[in-house]
Amino acid sequence: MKNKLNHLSIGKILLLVSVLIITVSLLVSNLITFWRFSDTSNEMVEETSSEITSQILLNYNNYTDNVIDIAHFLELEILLNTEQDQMDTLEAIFQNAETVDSNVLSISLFSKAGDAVVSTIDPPYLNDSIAGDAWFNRTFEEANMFHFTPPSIDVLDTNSTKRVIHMTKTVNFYDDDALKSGALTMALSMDNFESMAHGANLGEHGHIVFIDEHGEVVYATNDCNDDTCESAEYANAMNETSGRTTIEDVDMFVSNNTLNHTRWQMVTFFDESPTRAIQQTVLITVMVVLSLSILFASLLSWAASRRITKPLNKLKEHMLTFEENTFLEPLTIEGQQEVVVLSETFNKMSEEIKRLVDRVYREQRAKRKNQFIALQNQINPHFLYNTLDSILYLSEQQKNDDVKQMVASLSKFFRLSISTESGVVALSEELKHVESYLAIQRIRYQNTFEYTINCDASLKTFNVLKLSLQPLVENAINHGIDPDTSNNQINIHIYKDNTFLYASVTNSGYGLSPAQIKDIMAMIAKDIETPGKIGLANVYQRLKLHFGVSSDIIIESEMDQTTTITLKMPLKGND
Amino acid sequence: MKIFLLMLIVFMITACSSNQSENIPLIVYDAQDEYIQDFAQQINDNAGEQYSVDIYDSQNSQVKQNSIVDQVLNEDPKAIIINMVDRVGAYPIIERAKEKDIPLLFINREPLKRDLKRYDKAFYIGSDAHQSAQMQADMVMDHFKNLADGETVKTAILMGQQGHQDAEIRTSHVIEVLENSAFPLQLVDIKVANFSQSDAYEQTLSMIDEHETIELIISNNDAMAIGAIDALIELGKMSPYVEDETIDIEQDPWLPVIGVDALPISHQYLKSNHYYGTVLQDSSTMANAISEMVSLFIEGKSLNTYSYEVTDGHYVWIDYQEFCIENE
Repeated sequence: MKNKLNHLSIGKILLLVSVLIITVSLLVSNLITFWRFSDTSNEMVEETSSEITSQILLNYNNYTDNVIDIAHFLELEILLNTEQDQMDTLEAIFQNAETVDSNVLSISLFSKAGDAVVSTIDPPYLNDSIAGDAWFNRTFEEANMFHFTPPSIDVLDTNSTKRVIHMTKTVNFYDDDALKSGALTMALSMDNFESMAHGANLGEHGHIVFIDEHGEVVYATNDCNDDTCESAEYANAMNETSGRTTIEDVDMFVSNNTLNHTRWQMVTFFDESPTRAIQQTVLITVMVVLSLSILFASLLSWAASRRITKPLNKLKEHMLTFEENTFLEPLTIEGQQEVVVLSETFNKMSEEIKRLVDRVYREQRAKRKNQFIALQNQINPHFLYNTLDSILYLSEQQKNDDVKQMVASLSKFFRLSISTESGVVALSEELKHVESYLAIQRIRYQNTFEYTINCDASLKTFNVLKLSLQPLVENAINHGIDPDTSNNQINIHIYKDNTFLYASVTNSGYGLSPAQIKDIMAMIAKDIETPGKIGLANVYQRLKLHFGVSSDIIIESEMDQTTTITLKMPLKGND
Repeated sequence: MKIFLLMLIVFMITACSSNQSENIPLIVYDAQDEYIQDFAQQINDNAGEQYSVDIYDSQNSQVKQNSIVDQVLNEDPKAIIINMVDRVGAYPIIERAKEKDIPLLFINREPLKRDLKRYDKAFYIGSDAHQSAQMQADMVMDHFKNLADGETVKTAILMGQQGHQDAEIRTSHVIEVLENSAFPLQLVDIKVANFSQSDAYEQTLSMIDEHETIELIISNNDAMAIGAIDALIELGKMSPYVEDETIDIEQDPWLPVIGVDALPISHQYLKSNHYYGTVLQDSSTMANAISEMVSLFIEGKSLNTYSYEVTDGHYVWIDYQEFCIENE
């Protein structure tokens, strides 16, 4: 992976790094923003909920405080008025107290035995059989505190069908100068209690559930009628004053508080689904903005990295072409300062190289030409010497015809040699040249050998090196002809395959061993001048100079049979 | 080097935490209440080296108090000292403390017995207001022991805040005891003076105006008793106060005023015989009982070694003491 990264192009690295930086920073900043928003909105829900809850509690506390204040006032009035047997006054006070607070429906003082001492309820409707009732008895079990019954149909006023809360407390009163314990009971209207609960702004699905100390539902603003409803179950399981839950798939922030004096817990369920929805919308928006930003930033950084790497790539392409081909137009690159300087330097360098290569080429060409001419010129003195030697010999032998033919052939031979400036002639010319030569040599060797020339007419137009076949024939005569026998044979064969033109000269004779062939090849390749073999090395050098490395001289031999020397010349560029 | 630094920091942290004394939260119902301020100070002074007391103010709001309780329960203290805003609303707090097994020491306002019984580590440390009422009644009966048959004692009561547990019990119980003891009590008035000296002064002035004769004033606390004495001096129902002099309760105009608390401000009237008697609310012993219980919980010891008697498994009652002129 590391290696892979190391081998990435500059453009990709730039792109990768910038996209990575942008992605990470955007992701981090966006997520932090979202978390902060989330936290803040949650806190706002909690704050709003607790403010509303506090307000509701305040209202309920006012509600209970008011009736408790009345009860306290009545408590003293009961004691003082009964002490002085002013029962009518006390009843009047009860009546007044009842009218003062609209929440109070009736006020009664009962003896411990359950007999009404004073009551604002009309006597015919007053329930006088409450002695055994649990709520009544509980008043005396825990004295000096207010007891609140769950809402129910008024049990004291048989004429009333209203749902009420009964508040009771033990009080002392005088009954015929004897101090007795009794119960002050007040029936409280549910109207305000309910409207306070329903008036609370707790959101669409928000609601309030009142539960007593046993977990039973006392009152609920939704359809929660017993402790098996979702809200009551959650409220009973709460072990903190606030928490979050879902009630019927709606997100709720729940506050649990005791209602002063009542021993009831008021559990408010604040509907925070709108906040959740906003949070979700914000999250989606953040993600969309994030994706778009990353996309946009990626495109920008891709463009930027391309701007940087484009001239570099152009330069790279240019350099690659330069590797294959020296001859290039100067490169003009627009872009960063560094790349421009680099390309200018490269231009200067390639121009310099081009200039040097041209010079070397020209020098090499001149040198080759000189060498070529020199090599070509080497041929002539040998042959001239040998031929003149033969002519001398023939003259001594008085063989005038032969001399005549020989001189004619020689004349023809030299005319061919000097006929062209270039070192290349058509094969037909070279073959004529070889035939002239063979004619000279046959006379010289007194017809002790026969020769054949086997060449397809179509091949005669191919160019060969001037004086390249003749040294091979010369070689064959020098080494292959046994003057003591007359059945010496020299065969010239011209043929071709797809890529090469071959010219082979075969002579009969002793033949050459592979070691000898190897030695000869080594000598001609090194251009070592060996007496008698000067021609072969000369041809080899010229062949390589003219046709290049693919051209060659091949020596094959069958001991005591034949020796064949073949020139191998590429067809390419040869017509 | 880095590892060394890290180890140093870890060492410092552990060293700090091991030296740190326990923090015990004390949640008061209202830090504005002067009695609570004094009492909290006494608890703090008793804490000494072993622990420090963190005082939280519920600002007389049960909502506020509930959230403070949530907060301190999460800090897992060794114990919580709490003064309820609404004494009958203690049960949810008791349930939450029980769940976390954190001892609760209720002070000043007594939770319901059935609530305390929910949790074996919930205690109420305080004084039984009935006892103070009983002692006041005893003092009254002692003073009026030589009454002739048919004679009644015209009595007025100065009451603290209505709804205040101590005021309610002291008021109702002193009447109950006197009536049950066949004391010829003639209750002429009960005035609510909110434990305040100036309220009691005003209420006494109007009370004397309303009723021709008042032979006894029973007050729920010292402050109101002193207010009443000041009003009586003002109206000439008592001789003026002169420093280092005593009045003759037989010869000079005088009527018995009885209170509760035995605060230092009451001592001069007790010495000068203006103030008949009061009942000592022994808050220093109470603070001591609280401190000792907190210490036992911090040390993880059982209450077997506790110096105070635990009644019913949940109550530590600190006795009131009679504090009369003779006591001086």
